[in-house]
Amino acid sequence: MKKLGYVLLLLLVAFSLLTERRVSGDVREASECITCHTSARMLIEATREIGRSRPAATGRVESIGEG
Amino acid sequence: MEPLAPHEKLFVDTDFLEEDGNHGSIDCHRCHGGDPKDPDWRTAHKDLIKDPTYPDSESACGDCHDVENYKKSLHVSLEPYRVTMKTRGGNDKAAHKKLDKAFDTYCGQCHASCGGCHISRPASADGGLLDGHIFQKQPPMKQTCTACHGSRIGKEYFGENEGLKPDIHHEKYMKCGKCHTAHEMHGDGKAYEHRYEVENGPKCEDCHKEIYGDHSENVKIHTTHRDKTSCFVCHSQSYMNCSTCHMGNDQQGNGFFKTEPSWMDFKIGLNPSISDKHPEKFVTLRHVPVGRDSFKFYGEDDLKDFDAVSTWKMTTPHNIRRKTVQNESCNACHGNLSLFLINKDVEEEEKKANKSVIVGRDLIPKKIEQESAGKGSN
Repeated sequence: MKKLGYVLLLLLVAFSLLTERRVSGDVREASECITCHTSARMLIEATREIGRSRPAATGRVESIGEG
Repeated sequence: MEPLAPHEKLFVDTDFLEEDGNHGSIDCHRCHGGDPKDPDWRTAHKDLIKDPTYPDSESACGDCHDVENYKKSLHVSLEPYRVTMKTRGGNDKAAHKKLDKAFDTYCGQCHASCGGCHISRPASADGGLLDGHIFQKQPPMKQTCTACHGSRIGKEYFGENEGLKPDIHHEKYMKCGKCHTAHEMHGDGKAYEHRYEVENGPKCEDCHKEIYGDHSENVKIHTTHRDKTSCFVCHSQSYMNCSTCHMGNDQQGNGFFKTEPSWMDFKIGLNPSISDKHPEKFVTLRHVPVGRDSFKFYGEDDLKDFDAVSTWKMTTPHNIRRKTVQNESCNACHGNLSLFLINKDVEEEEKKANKSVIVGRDLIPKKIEQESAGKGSN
């Protein structure tokens, strides 16, 4: 009887661990966010593209008398 | 603080997804919005919420965490700045409106948020995820606290001001959170108008409980000065003072602020608001970055009642040492005019504003003739 209890407890722990992993796994599979944000290569490419599309910084010129 | 490369700011560690059973299992878009099914990142980020915890943390954190006090936390509300600006603005409602705009454009940008401490660097420090989106129960000091409180507090604490030692608490490996508890940071629900009013703010005696006890070292000196001088008067080193700050827009329409050069100084002045929490007559004062024309860009004479608040304000320098120049002996401080904020130290146009903190010569403690009589074992 005691052995059965241990086995059930072990199964319960294993089940809860597996379910937790599965939840995370589900999020990952369903989301393009995670595909990109966990890939350094994809992020580097995207941020480079963003950088290229932005106008070059000209630096701030302070207007006399306005500051 | 090392800057992060653009991609580093956005990188999510798989450990966050796999090991944080609570936050890591929540769909990204539930907090951040956007379209998680869109494979094109250019369109997927439409309506993205960068920091879902600001200005309201309720929807992102409120289901599990008690965030009731969040908006009244001074790190979020910045209420003391707003109150001080409006006090200096007098009763002029039109001026208040302009000052509100200046506040929202500049001062108000340096706020914290739940995410800005526990997940990323603060937005005002250029943001970027702290550790691949892994939640930090204790925000890392250099990447969060001193990322904002760096030029004065950070430099003092780490001993980065030339010729000055670090704070002894830093040498004892104490992080900010040791004194500034989560309870203090998260607010207690009261809308304080000044940070020194915060009831659960740190007090030296929280740790140094026996300082006035009969068997304490230097008990005589400590009890003699109790409620007369703040701990900082005897135990802090010189600290940075700011002169003034101006706000405006550049020729491209970008907002900017510029400050005049700062300087190192140590000044003891009168406590302008003696209270149960701060009963001391003498406190350390620091010049804050404001001038009569700081907000001139928004309107002439917006600070009509500039003199209502001092420009030398009570301060708690973070460079504490047991032994300092001024506590070397009684007469290192007593009768030493150079340590006190006297009339000649204050700019002519700021004298009226600082009337309540300037130490009259008659108030400066006189030299002690038989020094050994009052000298402790410092």
